Amino acid sequence: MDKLIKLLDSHPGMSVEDMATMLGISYENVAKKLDTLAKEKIYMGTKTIINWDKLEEGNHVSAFIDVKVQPKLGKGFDEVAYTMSRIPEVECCYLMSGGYDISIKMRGKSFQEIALFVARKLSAIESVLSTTTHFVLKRYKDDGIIMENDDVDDRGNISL
Amino acid sequence: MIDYSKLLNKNLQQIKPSGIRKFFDLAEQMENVISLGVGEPDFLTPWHVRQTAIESLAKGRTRYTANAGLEALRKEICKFFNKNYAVSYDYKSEVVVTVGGSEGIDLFIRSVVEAGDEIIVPEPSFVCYNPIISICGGVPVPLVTKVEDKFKVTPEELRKLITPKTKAIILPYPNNPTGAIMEKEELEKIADVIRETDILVCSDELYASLTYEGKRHTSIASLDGMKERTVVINGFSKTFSMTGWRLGYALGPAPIIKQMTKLHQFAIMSAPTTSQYGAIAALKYGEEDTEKMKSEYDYRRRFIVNGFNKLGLDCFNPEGAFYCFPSIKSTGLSSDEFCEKLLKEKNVAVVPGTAFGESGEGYIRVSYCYSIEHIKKALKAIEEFLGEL
Repeated sequence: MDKLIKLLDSHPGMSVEDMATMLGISYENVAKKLDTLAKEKIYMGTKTIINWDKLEEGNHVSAFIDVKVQPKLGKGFDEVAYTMSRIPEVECCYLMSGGYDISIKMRGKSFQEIALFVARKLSAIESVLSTTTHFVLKRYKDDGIIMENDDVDDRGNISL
Repeated sequence: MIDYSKLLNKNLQQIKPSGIRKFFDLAEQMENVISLGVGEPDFLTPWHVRQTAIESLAKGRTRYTANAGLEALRKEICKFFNKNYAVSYDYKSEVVVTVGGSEGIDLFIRSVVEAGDEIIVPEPSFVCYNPIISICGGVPVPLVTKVEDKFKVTPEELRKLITPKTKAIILPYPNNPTGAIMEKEELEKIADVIRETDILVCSDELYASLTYEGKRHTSIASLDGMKERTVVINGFSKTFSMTGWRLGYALGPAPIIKQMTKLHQFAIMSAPTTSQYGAIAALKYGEEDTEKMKSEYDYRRRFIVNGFNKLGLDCFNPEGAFYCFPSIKSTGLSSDEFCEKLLKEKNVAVVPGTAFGESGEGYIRVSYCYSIEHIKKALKAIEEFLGEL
Protein backbone atom coordinates (compact mmCIF):
# COMPACT_ATOMS: atom_id res chain seq x y z
CA MET A 1 0.00 0.00 0.00
CA ASP A 2 1.11 3.54 -0.62
CA LYS A 3 2.94 4.81 2.47
CA LEU A 4 1.02 8.06 2.63
CA ILE A 5 -2.35 6.31 2.37
CA LYS A 6 -1.37 3.94 5.15
CA LEU A 7 -0.44 6.90 7.36
CA LEU A 8 -3.61 8.83 6.50
CA ASP A 9 -5.62 5.75 7.41
CA SER A 10 -3.98 5.19 10.79
CA HIS A 11 -3.34 8.83 11.76
CA PRO A 12 -6.14 11.02 10.42
CA GLY A 13 -5.88 14.75 10.90
CA MET A 14 -2.07 15.08 11.01
CA SER A 15 -0.52 18.22 9.60
CA VAL A 16 1.43 17.93 6.35
CA GLU A 17 4.59 18.82 8.26
CA ASP A 18 4.10 16.03 10.81
CA MET A 19 3.28 13.52 8.09
CA ALA A 20 6.43 14.47 6.22
CA THR A 21 8.50 13.88 9.38
CA MET A 22 6.83 10.58 10.16
CA LEU A 23 7.39 9.29 6.64
CA GLY A 24 10.86 10.73 6.27
CA ILE A 25 9.98 12.55 3.04
CA SER A 26 9.87 16.24 2.19
CA TYR A 27 6.98 18.59 2.97
CA GLU A 28 6.58 19.44 -0.72
CA ASN A 29 6.40 15.78 -1.65
CA VAL A 30 3.64 15.05 0.87
CA ALA A 31 1.69 18.14 -0.12
CA LYS A 32 1.91 17.20 -3.79
CA LYS A 33 0.90 13.60 -3.21
CA LEU A 34 -1.98 14.64 -0.99
CA ASP A 35 -3.20 16.95 -3.69
CA THR A 36 -3.09 14.17 -6.27
CA LEU A 37 -4.88 11.75 -3.96
CA ALA A 38 -7.63 14.30 -3.38
CA LYS A 39 -7.96 15.03 -7.10
CA GLU A 40 -8.22 11.34 -7.86
CA LYS A 41 -10.86 11.06 -5.15
CA ILE A 42 -8.79 8.56 -3.21
CA TYR A 43 -8.26 10.81 -0.20
CA MET A 44 -11.79 11.88 0.74
CA GLY A 45 -11.10 13.81 3.94
CA THR A 46 -11.36 13.04 7.65
CA LYS A 47 -14.39 12.68 9.84
CA THR A 48 -14.92 13.20 13.56
CA ILE A 49 -16.51 10.43 15.57
CA ILE A 50 -18.93 11.66 18.22
CA ASN A 51 -20.54 9.45 20.80
CA TRP A 52 -24.06 10.83 20.33
CA ASP A 53 -25.42 8.58 23.06
CA LYS A 54 -23.60 10.76 25.58
CA LEU A 55 -25.45 13.89 24.52
CA GLU A 56 -28.71 14.66 26.31
CA GLU A 57 -30.18 17.31 24.04
CA GLY A 58 -31.78 16.30 20.73
CA ASN A 59 -32.05 12.53 20.75
CA HIS A 60 -29.81 11.04 18.14
CA VAL A 61 -31.17 7.91 16.56
CA SER A 62 -29.43 5.81 13.97
CA ALA A 63 -30.95 3.20 11.71
CA PHE A 64 -29.87 0.73 9.08
CA ILE A 65 -32.36 0.37 6.27
CA ASP A 66 -32.32 -2.62 3.95
CA VAL A 67 -33.74 -1.62 0.60
CA LYS A 68 -34.86 -3.86 -2.22
CA VAL A 69 -34.98 -2.11 -5.57
CA GLN A 70 -35.83 -2.87 -9.16
CA PRO A 71 -32.62 -2.43 -11.15
CA LYS A 72 -32.92 -0.40 -14.31
CA LEU A 73 -32.04 -1.79 -17.68
CA GLY A 74 -28.53 -0.74 -18.63
CA LYS A 75 -28.02 1.22 -15.40
CA GLY A 76 -28.25 -1.51 -12.81
CA PHE A 77 -28.44 -0.18 -9.28
CA ASP A 78 -26.20 2.84 -9.80
CA GLU A 79 -28.85 5.37 -10.70
CA VAL A 80 -31.08 4.69 -7.71
CA ALA A 81 -28.09 4.42 -5.37
CA TYR A 82 -26.75 7.80 -6.51
CA THR A 83 -30.21 9.31 -6.00
CA MET A 84 -30.34 7.95 -2.45
CA SER A 85 -26.80 9.15 -1.75
CA ARG A 86 -27.83 12.71 -2.52
CA ILE A 87 -30.40 12.77 0.28
CA PRO A 88 -28.69 14.68 3.13
CA GLU A 89 -30.06 12.44 5.91
CA VAL A 90 -28.39 9.39 4.34
CA GLU A 91 -25.02 8.82 6.03
CA CYS A 92 -23.96 5.69 4.19
CA CYS A 93 -25.26 4.00 1.09
CA TYR A 94 -23.88 0.65 -0.08
CA LEU A 95 -24.78 -1.89 -2.76
CA MET A 96 -24.95 -5.22 -0.98
CA SER A 97 -24.77 -8.90 -1.77
CA GLY A 98 -27.34 -11.17 -0.17
CA GLY A 99 -31.02 -10.82 0.63
CA TYR A 100 -31.47 -7.16 -0.28
CA ASP A 101 -29.82 -4.70 -2.62
CA ILE A 102 -28.98 -1.43 -0.95
CA SER A 103 -28.03 -0.71 2.64
CA ILE A 104 -28.59 2.75 3.98
CA LYS A 105 -27.39 4.15 7.28
CA MET A 106 -29.04 7.31 8.51
CA ARG A 107 -29.22 9.48 11.59
CA GLY A 108 -32.22 11.41 12.83
CA LYS A 109 -33.49 13.23 15.89
CA SER A 110 -36.07 10.58 16.71
CA PHE A 111 -37.44 7.19 15.69
CA GLN A 112 -40.38 9.03 14.26
CA GLU A 113 -38.26 11.23 12.07
CA ILE A 114 -36.56 8.21 10.59
CA ALA A 115 -39.88 6.41 10.11
CA LEU A 116 -41.20 9.43 8.26
CA PHE A 117 -38.08 9.61 6.15
CA VAL A 118 -38.48 5.99 5.11
CA ALA A 119 -42.18 6.33 4.40
CA ARG A 120 -42.04 9.64 2.55
CA LYS A 121 -38.63 10.03 0.97
CA LEU A 122 -37.16 6.60 0.53
CA SER A 123 -40.22 4.60 -0.42
CA ALA A 124 -41.20 7.38 -2.80
CA ILE A 125 -38.22 6.64 -5.01
CA GLU A 126 -39.62 4.95 -8.06
CA SER A 127 -37.66 1.72 -8.19
CA VAL A 128 -37.82 0.98 -4.44
CA LEU A 129 -39.69 -2.27 -3.91
CA SER A 130 -39.48 -2.65 -0.14
CA THR A 131 -37.64 -1.45 2.96
CA THR A 132 -36.78 -2.98 6.33
CA THR A 133 -35.66 -0.58 9.04
CA HIS A 134 -33.39 -1.61 11.93
CA PHE A 135 -32.89 0.93 14.70
CA VAL A 136 -29.61 1.09 16.60
CA LEU A 137 -30.30 0.58 20.30
CA LYS A 138 -26.80 1.04 21.66
CA ARG A 139 -23.50 1.92 20.08
CA TYR A 140 -20.49 -0.11 21.25
CA LYS A 141 -17.98 0.62 18.54
CA ASP A 142 -18.03 3.06 15.66
CA ASP A 143 -15.49 3.16 12.85
CA GLY A 144 -12.95 1.22 14.89
CA ILE A 145 -13.43 3.23 18.06
CA ILE A 146 -14.78 1.56 21.19
CA MET A 147 -17.26 3.91 22.88
CA GLU A 148 -16.77 2.83 26.49
CA ASN A 149 -13.13 1.81 26.39
CA ASP A 150 -11.75 1.06 29.84
CA ASP A 151 -8.21 0.25 28.67
CA VAL A 152 -5.73 2.15 30.80
CA ASP A 153 -2.03 2.69 30.44
CA ASP A 154 -0.89 0.89 33.57
CA ARG A 155 2.80 0.84 32.71
CA GLY A 156 4.02 3.21 35.40
CA ASN A 157 6.33 6.12 34.67
CA ILE A 158 9.67 4.44 34.26
CA SER A 159 11.21 1.03 33.58
CA LEU A 160 14.48 -0.08 32.02
CA MET B 1 19.82 -9.97 66.67
CA ILE B 2 20.68 -11.86 63.52
CA ASP B 3 23.47 -10.40 61.44
CA TYR B 4 21.96 -11.00 58.05
CA SER B 5 25.00 -9.69 56.25
CA LYS B 6 26.90 -12.74 57.46
CA LEU B 7 24.20 -15.06 56.20
CA LEU B 8 23.51 -13.50 52.86
CA ASN B 9 25.52 -14.20 49.74
CA LYS B 10 28.55 -11.89 49.76
CA ASN B 11 28.65 -11.52 46.00
CA LEU B 12 25.01 -10.49 45.98
CA GLN B 13 25.41 -8.04 48.82
CA GLN B 14 28.33 -6.37 47.10
CA ILE B 15 26.17 -5.47 44.14
CA LYS B 16 25.21 -1.88 44.71
CA PRO B 17 21.59 -0.99 44.24
CA SER B 18 21.35 0.99 41.07
CA GLY B 19 22.18 4.65 41.67
CA ILE B 20 19.08 5.77 39.86
CA ARG B 21 16.75 3.94 42.24
CA LYS B 22 16.13 7.28 43.96
CA PHE B 23 15.20 8.89 40.68
CA PHE B 24 12.90 5.97 39.85
CA ASP B 25 11.14 6.26 43.19
CA LEU B 26 10.68 9.97 42.65
CA ALA B 27 9.23 9.41 39.17
CA GLU B 28 6.87 6.71 40.35
CA GLN B 29 5.55 8.82 43.21
CA MET B 30 4.72 11.81 41.05
CA GLU B 31 1.34 12.19 39.45
CA ASN B 32 0.41 13.38 35.97
CA VAL B 33 3.86 12.59 34.68
CA ILE B 34 4.32 12.84 30.93
CA SER B 35 6.53 9.83 30.65
CA LEU B 36 8.91 8.82 27.91
CA GLY B 37 10.47 6.45 30.37
CA VAL B 38 9.14 2.94 29.98
CA GLY B 39 10.87 0.15 28.12
CA GLU B 40 7.66 -1.61 27.27
CA PRO B 41 5.31 -1.49 24.26
CA ASP B 42 2.13 0.54 24.62
CA PHE B 43 0.28 -1.86 22.34
CA LEU B 44 -1.77 -4.59 23.88
CA THR B 45 -1.08 -8.21 22.98
CA PRO B 46 -2.90 -9.00 19.70
CA TRP B 47 -6.43 -10.17 20.37
CA HIS B 48 -6.06 -13.57 18.71
CA VAL B 49 -3.17 -14.38 21.05
CA ARG B 50 -5.21 -13.41 24.11
CA GLN B 51 -8.14 -15.45 22.82
CA THR B 52 -6.00 -18.54 22.24
CA ALA B 53 -4.66 -18.31 25.78
CA ILE B 54 -8.18 -17.94 27.16
CA GLU B 55 -9.29 -21.00 25.17
CA SER B 56 -6.38 -23.00 26.56
CA LEU B 57 -7.63 -22.19 30.05
CA ALA B 58 -11.19 -23.11 29.13
CA LYS B 59 -9.91 -26.44 27.86
CA GLY B 60 -8.14 -27.05 31.15
CA ARG B 61 -4.56 -26.67 29.99
CA THR B 62 -3.49 -25.66 33.47
CA ARG B 63 -0.67 -28.05 34.33
CA TYR B 64 3.12 -27.87 34.05
CA THR B 65 4.55 -28.37 30.61
CA ALA B 66 7.75 -30.20 29.74
CA ASN B 67 10.70 -28.44 31.39
CA ALA B 68 11.99 -27.14 28.08
CA GLY B 69 8.49 -25.97 27.11
CA LEU B 70 5.61 -27.35 25.05
CA GLU B 71 6.83 -29.38 22.12
CA ALA B 72 4.45 -27.56 19.79
CA LEU B 73 5.86 -24.23 20.94
CA ARG B 74 9.47 -25.31 20.56
CA LYS B 75 8.70 -26.49 17.03
CA GLU B 76 7.12 -23.14 16.19
CA ILE B 77 10.05 -21.24 17.70
CA CYS B 78 12.51 -23.18 15.55
CA LYS B 79 10.36 -22.66 12.44
CA PHE B 80 9.97 -18.93 13.15
CA PHE B 81 13.66 -18.43 13.81
CA ASN B 82 14.74 -20.32 10.72
CA LYS B 83 12.28 -18.42 8.54
CA ASN B 84 13.26 -14.99 9.87
CA TYR B 85 16.94 -15.34 10.71
CA ALA B 86 18.04 -18.39 8.70
CA VAL B 87 19.43 -20.57 11.46
CA SER B 88 17.95 -23.99 12.02
CA TYR B 89 17.70 -25.49 15.49
CA ASP B 90 16.53 -28.88 16.70
CA TYR B 91 13.41 -28.44 18.83
CA LYS B 92 14.35 -31.50 20.86
CA SER B 93 17.75 -30.41 22.11
CA GLU B 94 18.57 -26.86 21.09
CA VAL B 95 15.79 -24.73 22.55
CA VAL B 96 14.49 -23.96 26.02
CA VAL B 97 11.41 -21.84 26.71
CA THR B 98 12.12 -19.38 29.50
CA VAL B 99 10.36 -16.88 31.73
CA GLY B 100 11.09 -13.89 29.53
CA GLY B 101 14.36 -13.16 27.78
CA SER B 102 15.72 -12.19 31.20
CA GLU B 103 15.63 -15.76 32.44
CA GLY B 104 17.46 -16.89 29.32
CA ILE B 105 20.23 -14.40 30.06
CA ASP B 106 20.37 -15.53 33.68
CA LEU B 107 20.50 -19.20 32.66
CA PHE B 108 23.26 -18.59 30.15
CA ILE B 109 25.44 -16.67 32.57
CA ARG B 110 24.93 -19.11 35.43
CA SER B 111 25.57 -22.08 33.14
CA VAL B 112 28.84 -20.64 31.92
CA VAL B 113 30.46 -18.34 34.46
CA GLU B 114 32.75 -19.49 37.24
CA ALA B 115 34.82 -17.46 39.69
CA GLY B 116 37.33 -15.26 37.90
CA ASP B 117 35.86 -15.67 34.43
CA GLU B 118 35.70 -12.52 32.38
CA ILE B 119 32.62 -11.68 30.36
CA ILE B 120 32.76 -8.81 27.90
CA VAL B 121 29.68 -6.62 28.14
CA PRO B 122 29.13 -3.75 25.70
CA GLU B 123 28.09 -0.49 27.28
CA PRO B 124 25.70 1.30 27.36
CA SER B 125 23.36 -1.65 27.52
CA PHE B 126 20.55 -3.24 29.48
CA VAL B 127 21.27 -3.56 33.17
CA CYS B 128 20.93 -7.23 34.02
CA TYR B 129 24.17 -8.72 32.71
CA ASN B 130 26.71 -7.32 35.15
CA PRO B 131 24.93 -8.18 38.42
CA ILE B 132 24.34 -11.79 37.38
CA ILE B 133 27.94 -12.18 36.22
CA SER B 134 29.13 -10.75 39.54
CA ILE B 135 26.89 -13.03 41.62
CA CYS B 136 28.55 -15.97 39.89
CA GLY B 137 31.95 -14.58 40.83
CA GLY B 138 32.67 -13.55 37.29
CA VAL B 139 34.10 -10.25 36.16
CA PRO B 140 32.10 -8.08 33.77
CA VAL B 141 34.48 -6.32 31.40
CA PRO B 142 32.85 -3.25 29.88
CA LEU B 143 33.33 -2.64 26.18
CA VAL B 144 32.46 1.00 25.78
CA THR B 145 30.70 1.75 22.51
CA LYS B 146 30.81 5.27 21.13
CA VAL B 147 28.46 7.47 19.19
CA GLU B 148 31.11 7.92 16.47
CA ASP B 149 30.95 4.14 15.94
CA LYS B 150 27.15 4.35 16.00
CA PHE B 151 27.30 2.56 19.38
CA LYS B 152 28.42 -0.67 17.70
CA VAL B 153 31.00 -3.15 18.92
CA THR B 154 34.15 -2.82 16.83
CA PRO B 155 36.62 -5.68 16.29
CA GLU B 156 39.48 -3.42 17.45
CA GLU B 157 37.86 -2.71 20.82
CA LEU B 158 36.87 -6.34 21.23
CA ARG B 159 40.39 -7.60 20.53
CA LYS B 160 41.85 -5.28 23.17
CA LEU B 161 39.67 -6.78 25.88
CA ILE B 162 40.14 -10.47 25.20
CA THR B 163 42.37 -12.22 27.74
CA PRO B 164 42.94 -15.90 28.53
CA LYS B 165 40.19 -15.50 31.14
CA THR B 166 37.56 -14.30 28.70
CA LYS B 167 34.76 -16.82 28.49
CA ALA B 168 31.99 -15.03 26.67
CA ILE B 169 30.76 -11.80 25.17
CA ILE B 170 27.25 -10.46 25.47
CA LEU B 171 25.97 -9.03 22.20
CA PRO B 172 22.89 -6.93 22.97
CA TYR B 173 21.65 -5.80 19.55
CA PRO B 174 19.32 -4.17 18.59
CA ASN B 175 20.36 -2.24 21.65
CA ASN B 176 18.52 -0.88 24.63
CA PRO B 177 19.17 2.05 25.34
CA THR B 178 20.89 3.37 22.18
CA GLY B 179 18.72 1.84 19.45
CA ALA B 180 21.92 0.79 17.66
CA ILE B 181 21.95 -2.32 15.49
CA MET B 182 24.77 -4.52 14.18
CA GLU B 183 24.58 -5.28 10.49
CA LYS B 184 25.80 -8.44 8.81
CA GLU B 185 29.14 -7.09 7.63
CA GLU B 186 29.85 -5.63 11.09
CA LEU B 187 28.99 -8.93 12.74
CA GLU B 188 31.29 -10.73 10.28
CA LYS B 189 34.21 -8.68 11.61
CA ILE B 190 33.27 -9.57 15.19
CA ALA B 191 32.90 -13.21 14.21
CA ASP B 192 36.38 -13.13 12.65
CA VAL B 193 37.82 -12.18 16.03
CA ILE B 194 35.75 -14.69 17.96
CA ARG B 195 36.43 -17.62 15.63
CA GLU B 196 40.11 -17.39 16.58
CA THR B 197 39.16 -18.04 20.21
CA ASP B 198 36.99 -20.32 22.36
CA ILE B 199 34.78 -17.46 23.44
CA LEU B 200 31.03 -17.96 23.54
CA VAL B 201 28.53 -15.36 22.40
CA CYS B 202 25.32 -14.62 24.24
CA SER B 203 23.35 -12.78 21.57
CA ASP B 204 20.50 -10.93 23.24
CA GLU B 205 18.14 -10.38 20.31
CA LEU B 206 14.93 -9.38 22.10
CA TYR B 207 14.40 -6.48 19.71
CA ALA B 208 15.29 -8.44 16.56
CA SER B 209 11.90 -7.84 14.95
CA LEU B 210 12.21 -4.07 15.37
CA THR B 211 14.71 -2.76 12.84
CA TYR B 212 14.07 0.14 10.51
CA GLU B 213 15.20 1.85 7.33
CA GLY B 214 14.80 -1.38 5.41
CA LYS B 215 17.47 -3.11 7.49
CA ARG B 216 16.80 -6.68 8.56
CA HIS B 217 18.23 -8.06 11.75
CA THR B 218 21.06 -10.53 11.34
CA SER B 219 21.70 -13.07 14.06
CA ILE B 220 25.39 -13.71 14.61
CA ALA B 221 24.45 -17.39 14.89
CA SER B 222 23.73 -17.36 11.15
CA LEU B 223 27.36 -16.62 10.26
CA ASP B 224 29.77 -19.39 9.34
CA GLY B 225 30.99 -21.33 12.35
CA MET B 226 29.11 -19.14 14.81
CA LYS B 227 26.09 -21.30 15.61
CA GLU B 228 28.28 -23.63 17.67
CA ARG B 229 29.58 -20.68 19.75
CA THR B 230 26.38 -18.74 20.19
CA VAL B 231 23.37 -18.83 22.47
CA VAL B 232 20.57 -16.66 21.11
CA ILE B 233 18.20 -15.09 23.59
CA ASN B 234 14.85 -13.96 22.26
CA GLY B 235 11.29 -13.65 23.44
CA PHE B 236 7.74 -12.54 22.92
CA SER B 237 7.66 -9.30 24.94
CA LYS B 238 8.79 -6.90 22.26
CA THR B 239 7.91 -8.79 19.08
CA PHE B 240 4.30 -9.43 20.05
CA SER B 241 3.74 -6.94 22.91
CA MET B 242 3.60 -9.74 25.46
CA THR B 243 5.66 -8.29 28.33
CA GLY B 244 3.35 -9.41 31.12
CA TRP B 245 3.17 -12.97 29.81
CA ARG B 246 6.80 -13.47 30.82
CA LEU B 247 7.93 -15.67 27.99
CA GLY B 248 11.15 -16.01 26.09
CA TYR B 249 13.47 -18.63 24.69
CA ALA B 250 17.10 -19.55 24.30
CA LEU B 251 18.55 -21.30 21.26
CA GLY B 252 22.00 -22.79 21.16
CA PRO B 253 24.28 -25.82 21.01
CA ALA B 254 22.73 -28.87 22.67
CA PRO B 255 25.38 -29.22 25.43
CA ILE B 256 24.79 -25.62 26.60
CA ILE B 257 21.00 -25.80 26.30
CA LYS B 258 21.09 -29.05 28.27
CA GLN B 259 22.77 -27.33 31.22
CA MET B 260 20.55 -24.26 30.95
CA THR B 261 17.45 -26.49 30.91
CA LYS B 262 18.72 -28.28 34.00
CA LEU B 263 19.01 -24.99 35.88
CA HIS B 264 15.63 -23.91 34.56
CA GLN B 265 14.12 -27.17 35.74
CA PHE B 266 15.35 -26.64 39.30
CA ALA B 267 14.53 -22.95 39.53
CA ILE B 268 11.37 -22.59 37.45
CA MET B 269 10.11 -26.05 36.48
CA SER B 270 8.45 -24.79 33.31
CA ALA B 271 7.44 -21.43 31.86
CA PRO B 272 3.78 -20.41 32.39
CA THR B 273 1.55 -22.82 30.48
CA THR B 274 -1.12 -20.29 29.46
CA SER B 275 1.56 -18.00 28.08
CA GLN B 276 3.05 -20.86 26.08
CA TYR B 277 -0.28 -21.54 24.38
CA GLY B 278 -0.68 -17.86 23.56
CA ALA B 279 2.85 -17.79 22.17
CA ILE B 280 2.09 -20.58 19.70
CA ALA B 281 -0.66 -18.41 18.20
CA ALA B 282 1.66 -15.40 18.15
CA LEU B 283 4.33 -17.26 16.19
CA LYS B 284 1.86 -18.88 13.81
CA TYR B 285 -0.38 -15.94 13.02
CA GLY B 286 1.28 -12.84 14.47
CA GLU B 287 3.49 -11.69 11.63
CA GLU B 288 1.05 -9.02 10.51
CA ASP B 289 0.64 -7.75 14.09
CA THR B 290 4.38 -7.28 14.40
CA GLU B 291 4.54 -5.48 11.06
CA LYS B 292 1.76 -3.09 12.11
CA MET B 293 3.46 -2.26 15.40
CA LYS B 294 6.79 -1.84 13.68
CA SER B 295 5.34 0.57 11.17
CA GLU B 296 3.83 2.63 14.00
CA TYR B 297 7.14 2.62 15.92
CA ASP B 298 8.85 3.78 12.76
CA TYR B 299 6.57 6.85 12.46
CA ARG B 300 7.32 7.71 16.05
CA ARG B 301 11.03 7.08 15.66
CA ARG B 302 11.34 9.59 12.84
CA PHE B 303 9.13 12.04 14.67
CA ILE B 304 10.98 11.95 17.98
CA VAL B 305 14.51 11.92 16.52
CA ASN B 306 13.59 14.91 14.38
CA GLY B 307 12.07 16.55 17.47
CA PHE B 308 15.22 16.22 19.57
CA ASN B 309 17.51 17.33 16.76
CA LYS B 310 15.34 20.41 16.27
CA LEU B 311 15.62 21.17 19.99
CA GLY B 312 19.41 21.13 19.63
CA LEU B 313 19.82 17.84 21.52
CA ASP B 314 21.80 15.85 18.94
CA CYS B 315 20.19 12.50 18.49
CA PHE B 316 21.99 9.51 17.04
CA ASN B 317 19.77 7.89 14.40
CA PRO B 318 18.53 4.66 16.00
CA GLU B 319 17.86 1.84 13.56
CA GLY B 320 16.40 -0.66 16.00
CA ALA B 321 14.40 -1.25 19.20
CA PHE B 322 12.09 1.56 20.38
CA TYR B 323 14.44 4.03 22.01
CA CYS B 324 16.40 7.06 21.03
CA PHE B 325 19.47 8.29 22.88
CA PRO B 326 19.89 12.03 22.49
CA SER B 327 22.97 13.80 23.80
CA ILE B 328 22.32 16.43 26.45
CA LYS B 329 25.95 17.54 26.65
CA SER B 330 25.08 20.95 25.19
CA THR B 331 23.06 21.78 28.32
CA GLY B 332 26.10 21.47 30.58
CA LEU B 333 24.07 19.28 32.94
CA SER B 334 24.91 15.73 33.89
CA SER B 335 22.44 13.04 32.82
CA ASP B 336 21.16 12.66 36.36
CA GLU B 337 20.79 16.41 36.87
CA PHE B 338 19.01 16.80 33.55
CA CYS B 339 16.51 14.05 34.26
CA GLU B 340 15.78 15.09 37.82
CA LYS B 341 15.36 18.74 36.90
CA LEU B 342 13.17 17.88 33.92
CA LEU B 343 10.99 15.67 36.07
CA LYS B 344 10.64 18.20 38.88
CA GLU B 345 10.12 21.25 36.68
CA LYS B 346 8.13 19.85 33.76
CA ASN B 347 6.81 16.51 34.98
CA VAL B 348 8.51 14.75 32.08
CA ALA B 349 10.22 11.43 32.80
CA VAL B 350 13.16 10.16 30.75
CA VAL B 351 15.94 7.83 31.91
CA PRO B 352 19.50 9.09 32.54
CA GLY B 353 22.00 7.42 30.20
CA THR B 354 24.08 6.51 33.25
CA ALA B 355 21.45 3.94 34.22
CA PHE B 356 22.97 1.83 31.44
CA GLY B 357 26.61 2.22 32.46
CA GLU B 358 28.99 5.09 33.14
CA SER B 359 29.52 5.63 29.43
CA GLY B 360 25.88 6.72 29.21
CA GLU B 361 26.88 10.02 30.84
CA GLY B 362 25.82 12.95 28.68
CA TYR B 363 22.84 11.07 27.22
CA ILE B 364 19.23 10.35 28.07
CA ARG B 365 17.22 7.33 27.04
CA VAL B 366 13.90 8.20 25.54
CA SER B 367 11.30 5.58 24.77
CA TYR B 368 8.87 6.08 21.93
CA CYS B 369 6.36 3.52 23.13
CA TYR B 370 3.86 6.35 23.21
CA SER B 371 1.36 7.91 20.84
CA ILE B 372 2.47 10.74 18.57
CA GLU B 373 0.21 13.10 20.51
CA HIS B 374 1.87 12.12 23.77
CA ILE B 375 5.34 12.48 22.26
CA LYS B 376 4.40 15.95 20.96
CA LYS B 377 3.30 17.01 24.41
CA ALA B 378 6.51 15.75 25.98
CA LEU B 379 8.70 17.43 23.34
CA LYS B 380 6.87 20.70 23.91
CA ALA B 381 7.56 20.48 27.64
CA ILE B 382 11.23 19.65 27.00
CA GLU B 383 11.46 22.65 24.67
CA GLU B 384 10.13 24.90 27.43
CA PHE B 385 12.54 23.30 29.89
CA LEU B 386 15.53 23.96 27.63
CA GLY B 387 14.39 27.55 27.14
CA GLU B 388 14.37 28.14 30.87
CA LEU B 389 17.80 26.63 31.57
